[in-house]
Amino acid sequence: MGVVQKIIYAALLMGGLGITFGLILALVERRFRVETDPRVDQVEEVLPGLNCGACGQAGCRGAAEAIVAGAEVGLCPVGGAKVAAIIGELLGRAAQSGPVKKAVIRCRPDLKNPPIYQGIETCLGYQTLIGAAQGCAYGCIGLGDCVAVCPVGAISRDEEGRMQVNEELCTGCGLCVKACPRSVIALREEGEDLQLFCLNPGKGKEVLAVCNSGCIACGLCVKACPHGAIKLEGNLPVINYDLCQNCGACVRKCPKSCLEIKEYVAEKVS
Amino acid sequence: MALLSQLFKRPAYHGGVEVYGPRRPLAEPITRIQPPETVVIPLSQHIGAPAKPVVEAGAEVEVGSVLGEPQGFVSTYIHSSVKGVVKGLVTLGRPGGGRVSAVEIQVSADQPERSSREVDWDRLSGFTPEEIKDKVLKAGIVGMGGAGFPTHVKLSPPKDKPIDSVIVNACECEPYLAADSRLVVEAAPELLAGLRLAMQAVGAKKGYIAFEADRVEGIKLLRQLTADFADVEVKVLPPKYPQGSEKHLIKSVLGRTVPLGALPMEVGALVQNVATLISIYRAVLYDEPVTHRVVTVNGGAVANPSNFLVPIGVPIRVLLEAAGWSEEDCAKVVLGGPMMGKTAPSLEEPVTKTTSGVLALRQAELGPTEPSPCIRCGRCLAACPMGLYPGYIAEAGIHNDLEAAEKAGAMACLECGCCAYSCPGNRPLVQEIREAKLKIRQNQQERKGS
Repeated sequence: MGVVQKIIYAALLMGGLGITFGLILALVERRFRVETDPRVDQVEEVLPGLNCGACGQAGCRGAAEAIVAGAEVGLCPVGGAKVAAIIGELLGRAAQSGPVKKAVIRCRPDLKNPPIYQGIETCLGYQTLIGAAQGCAYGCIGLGDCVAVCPVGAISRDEEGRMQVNEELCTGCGLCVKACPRSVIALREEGEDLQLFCLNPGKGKEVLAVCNSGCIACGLCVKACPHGAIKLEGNLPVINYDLCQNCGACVRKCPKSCLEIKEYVAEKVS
Repeated sequence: MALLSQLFKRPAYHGGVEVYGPRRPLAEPITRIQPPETVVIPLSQHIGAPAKPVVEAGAEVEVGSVLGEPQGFVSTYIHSSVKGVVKGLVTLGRPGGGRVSAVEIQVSADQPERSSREVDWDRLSGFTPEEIKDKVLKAGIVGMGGAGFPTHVKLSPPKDKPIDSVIVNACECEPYLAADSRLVVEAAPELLAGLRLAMQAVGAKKGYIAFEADRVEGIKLLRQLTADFADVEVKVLPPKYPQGSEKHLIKSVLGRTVPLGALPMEVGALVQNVATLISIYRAVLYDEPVTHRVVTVNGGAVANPSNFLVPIGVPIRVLLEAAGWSEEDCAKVVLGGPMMGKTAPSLEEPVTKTTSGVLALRQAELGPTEPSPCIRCGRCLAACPMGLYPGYIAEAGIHNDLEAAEKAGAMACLECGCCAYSCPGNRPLVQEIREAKLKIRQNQQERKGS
């Protein structure tokens, strides 16, 4: 047998096999097809496809199945109101989603004597080895467990090593809130513009001893507020958003600059 | 010859490492440390609920006065270690994020001498198990090897789990340390009396004293003293870390395997540390609470490695100064042994019932800290005394694959450090596994909650 002939035989054999198996597969597919709800595929297509698990389901396919089976259309916290609306339209159900929340990192640390930490570079590792024994026990650790967990890349570290949330990207899924070992991150709603950037409930002297930018419970913000919206509770100001007018009187008076009016930025619609 | 054959016998459990440290201060006699002007005594020096403070500022206290009372069964009493006046309650921040209250005491100039206790063998047998347990609780005795588990709980096994053997853990397998080994030599009769009382409390028929083979002096002394006792046996084990781990010690001495997640009483064994047993003896016969403990001060930055008898609550700075440390040479101060000890957050950290050592280590002793990638050499696998694959668990943990980490046995990890010690890439395996364990536990709680 010549070489050319060998090649031809081989090609014919393999091609024949391919066609035969293809036919078998096609027949089996027809015959034993498992019926799925076509809406599951449609819903899955609309979902962000990050498979982050923020909804509590095993990935986006699981979420799609759950939504079609009757879960709330706004199940996906990452997709937010936008995705909920599209799914609502698809399934003919109204989206009952509330306002979109945004993550806010309630600490901008400026420690006086930052503890020496040589362990693995995660906030959880720092918390287990240093915890409350050195430095501030309540503030942002800054090793970025929230950055690692954010499915949309909305959290980043600025030049000063402080964590910042890009509200255009944040979908309020809350994964970072869960990941933070010190519960520094919270979700805020639209209208909650005035934010306090300190969580240390210690007295002024205790906070001054560890941090340059911590709230010293001086109470100037309480006195400055013309609307009576701020109260001191456990050495920290508590803001009543029903009364707050975002006038900024407290922000100007705060000697430690730990109050700030951060405008709520709506999600970028793409 | 017997010693040699013991040495070369195959160890009873898989894994473990031979750790090379500097000389242990085995021959240095225990010297007393005088308390400084103030001592700070934490109200939580044990596993379980912290003690409830029962003194107020201005109260005068003697050595042994009760400062805190237990809250719940797994908790215990806290006593004053000095004569003085209570200044007030202070709060200490702990690693892990917790906080504990502590009693600060102004120490008076005239401190009473600590009496030595001659062993009164005739009185021993007169105590019932209930009496012993009650006195152990009143004396605030906890596992002084480092875990700090309240001893009265350990002495109270449920009725369906009878204990037949009590093992004295005189292994002290962590390098650098010699507090227990020295205590064995200096207080051997008290130790034996304590063992007798522990056996009486749980109704055990047999007592073992387990040594690592290099504690020659202690072995010789205890062999002599136990020559007349038919029910007490000295066991010599190969010097290997973690020989002193409870489960591994039971395996080495009795050949019994404690099931995963179970306590030693499951296989009829009770393990007690040397210092704990001596405390039991002193508590039962003389109603003397735990107010002092023996602490080894060692490390490259210490000129005179020593064993000190320290009142609880004395800051570690006092011990380091007494041992002639050089602050410039010291890169890190560790509480406990070098394998499982924790970095001291400050030099004002008080000595507690569980502080077995204070180490001032030079940079050279710490070794490199920059990790390099895992090369799959499998040394961690060979070293793990629990038979796990630490590298795999750590990796699964880093990537948040908690299911895989749990399946691979993460929760069985002792955090003994054999894997990280033998890793040629200096990977921080223990810390990574510890983190994975924390996350797994968090998930379990969440699942339970929902």
